[in-house]
Amino acid sequence: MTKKHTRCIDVGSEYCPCYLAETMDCITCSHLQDKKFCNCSWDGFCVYQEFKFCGNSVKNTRESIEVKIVKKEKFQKLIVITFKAPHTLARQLNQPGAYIFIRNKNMNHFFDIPMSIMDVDTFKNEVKIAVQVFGVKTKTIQDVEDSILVRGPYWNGLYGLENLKQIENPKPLIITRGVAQAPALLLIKYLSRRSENIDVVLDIGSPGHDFIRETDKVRIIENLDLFSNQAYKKLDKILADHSYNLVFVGASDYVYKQLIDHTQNLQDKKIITTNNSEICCGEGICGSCTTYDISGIPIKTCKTQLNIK
Amino acid sequence: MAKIVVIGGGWAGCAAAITARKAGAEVEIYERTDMLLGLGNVGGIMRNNGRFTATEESILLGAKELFEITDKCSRHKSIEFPGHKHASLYDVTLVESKVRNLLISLGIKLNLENRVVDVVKKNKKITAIELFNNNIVEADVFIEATGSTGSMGNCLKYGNGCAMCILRCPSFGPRVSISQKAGVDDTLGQRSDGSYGAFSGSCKLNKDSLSKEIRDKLNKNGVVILPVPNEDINHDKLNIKVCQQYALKEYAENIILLDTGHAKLMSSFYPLNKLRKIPGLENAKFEDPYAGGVGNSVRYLSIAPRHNNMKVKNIDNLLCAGEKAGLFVGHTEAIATGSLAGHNSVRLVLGMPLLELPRNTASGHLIAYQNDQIKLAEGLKRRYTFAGSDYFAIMKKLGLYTTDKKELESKIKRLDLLDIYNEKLI
Repeated sequence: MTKKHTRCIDVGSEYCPCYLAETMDCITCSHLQDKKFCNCSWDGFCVYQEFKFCGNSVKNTRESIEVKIVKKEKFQKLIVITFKAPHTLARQLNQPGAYIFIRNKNMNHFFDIPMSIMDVDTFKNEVKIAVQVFGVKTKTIQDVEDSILVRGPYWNGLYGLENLKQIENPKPLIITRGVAQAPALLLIKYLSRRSENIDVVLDIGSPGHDFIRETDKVRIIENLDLFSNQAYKKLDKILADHSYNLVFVGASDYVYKQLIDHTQNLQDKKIITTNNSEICCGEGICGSCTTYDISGIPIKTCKTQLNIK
Repeated sequence: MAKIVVIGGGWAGCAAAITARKAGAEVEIYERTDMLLGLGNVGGIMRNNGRFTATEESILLGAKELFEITDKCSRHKSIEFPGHKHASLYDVTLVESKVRNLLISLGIKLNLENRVVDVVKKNKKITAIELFNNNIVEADVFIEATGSTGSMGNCLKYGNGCAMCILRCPSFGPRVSISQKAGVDDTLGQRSDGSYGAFSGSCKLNKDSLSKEIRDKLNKNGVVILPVPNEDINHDKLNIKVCQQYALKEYAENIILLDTGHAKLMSSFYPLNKLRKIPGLENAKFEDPYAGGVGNSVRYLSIAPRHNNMKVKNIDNLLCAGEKAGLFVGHTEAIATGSLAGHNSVRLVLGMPLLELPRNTASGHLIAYQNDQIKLAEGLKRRYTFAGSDYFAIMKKLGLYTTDKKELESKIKRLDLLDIYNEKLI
């Protein structure tokens, strides 16, 4: 039977075929998994055809470029950076789920940090990100001043993007915690073109900063601590009282699981979540983001859309 | 009521749907494109050589409906062209909507633009199929008539890449082998050199792009033969094509055009610059495949192992028809195998013994002979059609070929098979 999780986010993009095609590890194409016949989940694009037309080689690769920082703000453990990007990159990043790798230009590539896009101004070509200073790599960002290295675009920062594309007349509820407000903002921007009312349940989390107030496109209906049992009860009631058809959960995998387990009214909703994997290279090569499906098949989550339920 | 789901709406799928419906089942067709008939939309050749016998035989068995349409839509009847006698050429621009209307009038539910991508299976039984949109469709018995052609990756690996044929995989998504999804490995046809698959054997030229003289001649006679310039004759090209009945030296040394609404060019593909060197073809344009100058679809990549009653081996409730059921070529072969599969699908639901057509009928012999041959290494390199190649010679040798309708009728009566497909079983 067909593998259900094989939708690669890069299929059909200017970055497909990628290195995985060259090594016969393509996420989508059975020919490029060294099999004899077609058996892909068909996304309207033949990776094999493109690979052959590229002379059996990878197409474009994403390389780190140095970009100018136009603004750097600090909020306790958070650093918000706005940088100037080439117009094409800015345009490519202006969609829900977009992420990049950033790096202090004085460090080597081990220090690449995956970072969700918070906002993009495609007229000024400015891109905004929020870095929560937390570990080895993020600490190196504290010192950056004038410029920073950026590699992208990458798009698999959210799961359930299919739900976002397919839904008609979205009535969304945004549940978001901490630094996951950053990808939530880009999602809100996208949804606000199709939906007049966007409700938000906010947990400002450990960074302690409310980014959501930066947008006037939403209504914060509740501030909750998503680690508390009362929060799940309240959310269940909120979901019961409203006719939301699309729910975004921007929080850790633990919180997401708690929500799924304890919030009955979430079951029948279309869901989008943040991809919380430990992404390291973004190209499906290093294996740091690998997870396994129920039959034990490895999935490279930096590129693969999962059935999150 | 018994529910039969037919996967694939080509000639074989349509034929299967009709006989299943006539036997009393509720019938649905799932077809991935927006048209029925699949490659039948660019076909057209009927009743040539042994196909005449098979057609009349199928009509006597009770599967007359589709032949009535192809006969009625024929632009030319009883014409000859190299190696072929008493052929009819149906108009490909008329036939699809007529078949569609027929199926609807019979109460067959058509689900176009509904690609089947997977099966749900319990032990050796398919309980449901899964559609492209994750919808699940349950049925008692399934008939796979998905053909064996494409998709893009296969046409590239075993051919010259996607030539943009009528199957339109990029737009509607590729064929999925249902039997393979159900755990039964596909068998693959081979070329004479042992490589997999074979090119579809003809293209269509836009008739309006040909000279007035050729156009008029085509409209009048149905066939035009133009010599190929000496420097462009390539006999080797005959080895790559699926239609071995047209792999004759005349087809390498001449351009043979048949009038099927478009001008059917009896060559797998033909470089446009060479084609345009031929007087009268200076403005020639391909109609199917659009890139007929470089390639054509590749077929025989997905054949289900089956019994002679069309039931797929090792699955309790899956039958197959058309190219899915063997290295068959042609619409008549698709309709003959489809009709049997459709009828047997209802027998299967009812627990009745499945019908096997006797070997002294043309269809029964073709179905059984192909099944014997496909087990042999050399047999995988042959094609099986009433219209020519080795098989027509066998038909003649065994006395299966006749154009005498009375003789056929008395045979089918003697075998007690007259109108068997018209029997309502439920």
